[in-house]
Amino acid sequence: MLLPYLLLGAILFVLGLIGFVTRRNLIIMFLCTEMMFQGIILNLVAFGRYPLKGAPTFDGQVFALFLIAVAAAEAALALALVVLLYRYQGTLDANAYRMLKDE
Amino acid sequence: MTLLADATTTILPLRLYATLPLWPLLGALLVGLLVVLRRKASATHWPVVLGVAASATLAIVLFLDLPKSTTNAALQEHWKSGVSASQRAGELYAVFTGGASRAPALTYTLYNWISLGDQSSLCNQHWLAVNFYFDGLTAVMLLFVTVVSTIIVVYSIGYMRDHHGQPERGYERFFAFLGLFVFSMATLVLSGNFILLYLGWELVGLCSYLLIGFYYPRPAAAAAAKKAFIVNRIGDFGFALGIFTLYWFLTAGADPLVQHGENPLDYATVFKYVGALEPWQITTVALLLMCGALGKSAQFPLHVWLPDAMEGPTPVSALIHAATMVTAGIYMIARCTPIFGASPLALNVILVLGLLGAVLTATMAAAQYDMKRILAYSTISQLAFMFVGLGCRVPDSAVFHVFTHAWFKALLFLGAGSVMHALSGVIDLRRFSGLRDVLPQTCRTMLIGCLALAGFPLLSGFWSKDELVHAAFERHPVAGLILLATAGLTAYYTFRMFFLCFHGELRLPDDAAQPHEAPLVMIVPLWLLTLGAIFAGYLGVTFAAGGESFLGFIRPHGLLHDYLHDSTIGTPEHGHGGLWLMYVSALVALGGIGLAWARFGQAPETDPDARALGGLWRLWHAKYYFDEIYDYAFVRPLRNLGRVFSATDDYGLDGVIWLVAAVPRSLSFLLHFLQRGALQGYALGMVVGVAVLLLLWNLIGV
Repeated sequence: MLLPYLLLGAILFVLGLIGFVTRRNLIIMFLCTEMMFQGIILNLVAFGRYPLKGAPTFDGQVFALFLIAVAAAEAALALALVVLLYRYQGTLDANAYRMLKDE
Repeated sequence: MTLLADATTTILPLRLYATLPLWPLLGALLVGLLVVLRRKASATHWPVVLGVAASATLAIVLFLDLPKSTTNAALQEHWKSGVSASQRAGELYAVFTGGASRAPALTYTLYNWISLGDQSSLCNQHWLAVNFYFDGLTAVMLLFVTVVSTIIVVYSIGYMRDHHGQPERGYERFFAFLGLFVFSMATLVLSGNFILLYLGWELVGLCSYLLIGFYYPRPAAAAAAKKAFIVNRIGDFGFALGIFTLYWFLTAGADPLVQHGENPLDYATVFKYVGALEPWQITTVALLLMCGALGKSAQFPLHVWLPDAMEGPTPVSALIHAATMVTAGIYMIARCTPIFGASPLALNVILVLGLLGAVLTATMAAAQYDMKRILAYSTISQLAFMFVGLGCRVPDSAVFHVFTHAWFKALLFLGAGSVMHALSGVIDLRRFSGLRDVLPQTCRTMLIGCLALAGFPLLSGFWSKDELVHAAFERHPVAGLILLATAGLTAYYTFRMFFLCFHGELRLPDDAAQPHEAPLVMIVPLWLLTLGAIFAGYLGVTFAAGGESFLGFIRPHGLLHDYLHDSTIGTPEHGHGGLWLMYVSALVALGGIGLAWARFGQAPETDPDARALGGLWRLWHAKYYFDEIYDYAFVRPLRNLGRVFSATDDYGLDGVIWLVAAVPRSLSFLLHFLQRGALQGYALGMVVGVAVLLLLWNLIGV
């Protein structure tokens, strides 16, 4: 019964992706990346439970826990950056931050 | 491997003699330290003076010590083992053919320096050592190199100051370089193998460059320094090739000549096996080595640098001409007598070049007005005499002439320096005359120096020059006549210079403020050298009454020759008789001086020679247009070739590199429009990229 989990994971990932590309608010964009993360973690757990061959293992869940920890750390960092950016220009519109282009 | 490891010297231990070159170096380094510590410049000569004096002391003791230790011990051994005298002489003479073993020299190895040969097995390795070689030749060379250098260094204390006794700019630098120069020359003379010899050889070249260009803000001085360095480089190229080929011939092949455990390129090894080489191999090596000597000793095709070297301070000229540098070439050929002696062709080339150089430069000297340049050409001419001696298989006489020449040529240069010092740097003989009352001490010492150079009987130059003329006569009468004529010309131009400078009415250049006799620190060295100019020759003659002697009490061939016999020079065959030649050459010298007196005794303001000889004189005055010929034949074509290369580099190579760099630059120019700075745009690009990759993956179906 691997397929429903994979489908759900893919849906989560693509939703996050679309949100990331279309929305302008930096916090929303950040939340979208979190959603993409969840899709991937779901994939990992599903593959751990229903491996393509052999007996199920805990590897997927270990990986998932590890990723959640990384995502938490990343969230702390990213939100701090968002706060700084807001102080810098008073807006969180992604279009306001285009300084990194070649003149 | 040291030869004769248990041999030692009696007065001082050998390792103390081995420190001989290091004292001037230490002095030079100390001067550098004093400069760093910002001491007053006026006292910075002390380390170098003391360092060179220490070397001179060691050299004198070594000279006295050596016959007691090596020579006599070796000779006694020969006597004990029952070898007859004639056999021994034969053995020593066999050095020329490199056959028999001969009296061993003392070698002191400081450390192993370079490993050669098969690296994979330790036992097959040849080591090139830093080793010093002590024999008669070394001792004689060191004796005059260090002692004359000491005198010159002391003289420089007075010379390198202005009229108020304040040191010139660069005073410390000058003394540091002098110390380095003496160190280099002592290393060159002491070295026991060809690589260390080459090291000293190049160091001497470097020091000459530094000192000739001492007044580097003057363009002429900078150009002269470059010229000396480059001309020497041409000779050194041949010298290096000579060493390479020597090494190759000795070690190449399945069954090399150099045996296991011997240092190839050590004098001892080379001279042991040189006889086993093919004649063409020996000739190749000898001719290539000769190139080095031609450059360093400023001989005929490569003589052009030496007169220009007069741009340096006068003590430097004295040092280059008398003690260090130019004597190196003579020394090297004398040292390599076993190689050169085995190659008649090389000897003939040396002889012919020597004869040519002697005549050409003596005539050039006769038509110059710059006192120092006259002396420079006379040095080349005298060195050419030595070359003739080397070419006539009498290296001991050549070394004898180097020895005596050092004293009176240093004296003459320092005397010219004293004149220059008095006249605020004016040295052109047309601009002054009659200085004998203004500079009485200088005049007297110069007179003795000029007499010695002219070959006046009983002075040092007479004895040594006569031996060379004699040897040339025995080789070929034409060679002897050429040398004799050149000797007469030498007397003539020497006294032309002397009379123009010191005789006639007192005339002074306008810009010489107050001509004055030099201070004591310059006069005392002059008198010391005068003693050498008078008495140095007596080391090479024997006092013996009887019919076969000059003036009834002096016979040629004395202590110095015996001294040199146990060096690598060996025992050359000296002809007997020829006493008439001594009287003839004395007459020729007197004739030259007399002629000079007749023409220049009153120091005429217009040169009588220029009128009498016309075009020939102008040719001499222009130095046979050698500089111009070289300029057109070599310097300009090479410079143009250099321009071609430079253009190839600028436009050819750099162009290709520029093209290669242009490709990524233009690509990036196209792509930089995509960099918009919008985060979401990048994300979209990434997604599209991944999607395309996945599609491709599916389509190709890997």
